Amino acid sequence: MTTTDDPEAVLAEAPGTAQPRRRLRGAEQVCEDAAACDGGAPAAAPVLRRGLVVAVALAAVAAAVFGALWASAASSPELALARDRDAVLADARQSAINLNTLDYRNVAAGLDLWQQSSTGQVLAEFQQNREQYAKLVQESRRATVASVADAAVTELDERAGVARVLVAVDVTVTPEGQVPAVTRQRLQMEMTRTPAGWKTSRLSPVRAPAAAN
Amino acid sequence: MTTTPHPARRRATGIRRPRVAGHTPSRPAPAPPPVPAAARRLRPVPLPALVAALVVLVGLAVLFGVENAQVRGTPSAQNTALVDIGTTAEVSQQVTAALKTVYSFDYTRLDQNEAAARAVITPGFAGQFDQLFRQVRELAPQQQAVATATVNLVGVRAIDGDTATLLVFLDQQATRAQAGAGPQQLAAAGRLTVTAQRVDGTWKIAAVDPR
Repeated sequence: MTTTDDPEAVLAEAPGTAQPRRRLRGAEQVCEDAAACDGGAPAAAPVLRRGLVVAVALAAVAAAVFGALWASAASSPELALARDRDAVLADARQSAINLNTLDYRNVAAGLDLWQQSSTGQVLAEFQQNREQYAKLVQESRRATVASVADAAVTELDERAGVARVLVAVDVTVTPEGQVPAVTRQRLQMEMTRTPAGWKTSRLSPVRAPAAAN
Repeated sequence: MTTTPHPARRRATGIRRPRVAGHTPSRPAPAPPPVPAAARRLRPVPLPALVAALVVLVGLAVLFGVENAQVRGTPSAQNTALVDIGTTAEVSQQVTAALKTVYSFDYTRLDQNEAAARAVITPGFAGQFDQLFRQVRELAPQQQAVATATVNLVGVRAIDGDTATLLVFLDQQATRAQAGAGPQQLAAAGRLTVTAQRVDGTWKIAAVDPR
């Protein structure tokens, strides 16, 4: 009686369920609909399908959002500047070490490193005076080893590829057979971008105005 | 049967209540129409294809999420020194002024010097400053010492929120009286790693490490 004449009952009446109706209401409807269009798909498949569709949609949204965030981060000029700043700092620290380290027992390798760490007028000067430096160090029989106490980039012009860096360098000088002496230096370096990284193009100690006293 | 076209009356009779269970009146109208439409549209996609799409999309979401977190989460990305030009300049200027205040003194105005210095440091630096100023109070009057600090060069190494780290090349020039001679000039060249903290919008000295 109810199943045939009552339109509400037809919709309400799921195939063989009365008790768990509340819980399965959604599933029932899908089942009914699917059965109507499908001609009898298994009861679980549409539920699974619906869940999958929702999951796929959510995953697509998540992928799109994270993809966009990543793309914006990867192309962000701020982050590129931050990376450049840190690259300059790392290269400047290494360059400051290289340019303040020279062992009279191994001058050629030390001077090679000087040239590798420099560019522009500093490199030109090293190339020009290489013989003199080598002679001087070998005669003085001194070995110097440098370490960086701290360093900071003060200016960075990305377009020009030029930066200025302050470096606090501790240079340990060991004359042959003598006690090492440490000098604490303040350096300002200009770094210039080259295909092989940032290299020192200017180098000057920062002295106190009246330090001579 | 005669009652069916009138749900309200039917419910009133109570005869069908057990079967209908009171849920039906609200249910049929809103729910069914959209579902068949959706089902019809999505039906042609086979389940394995959906699963494959899900796997691929979840994989992409995870990949992008991890890459994004990596790119943004590096110490390099967190550090806004030089990237945030305004804040970098502000830190430089305020810390330069604060260092001048803290490392300059005049034996005739030590109370003012101390008050001025305390205004530009955080409580974290107070202990270190107490030690420094105790020496100044002890020695400056008897030496008639006047010291002037100037910041030769300053570089902001890092800014992370309200904390900044700077490398400062500080010069200090001092004059002190000598018995039986003219005033003596002294100069010192310092290298300081300074930690600054932003307190109520002003950058103050929170730590100083001589290098």
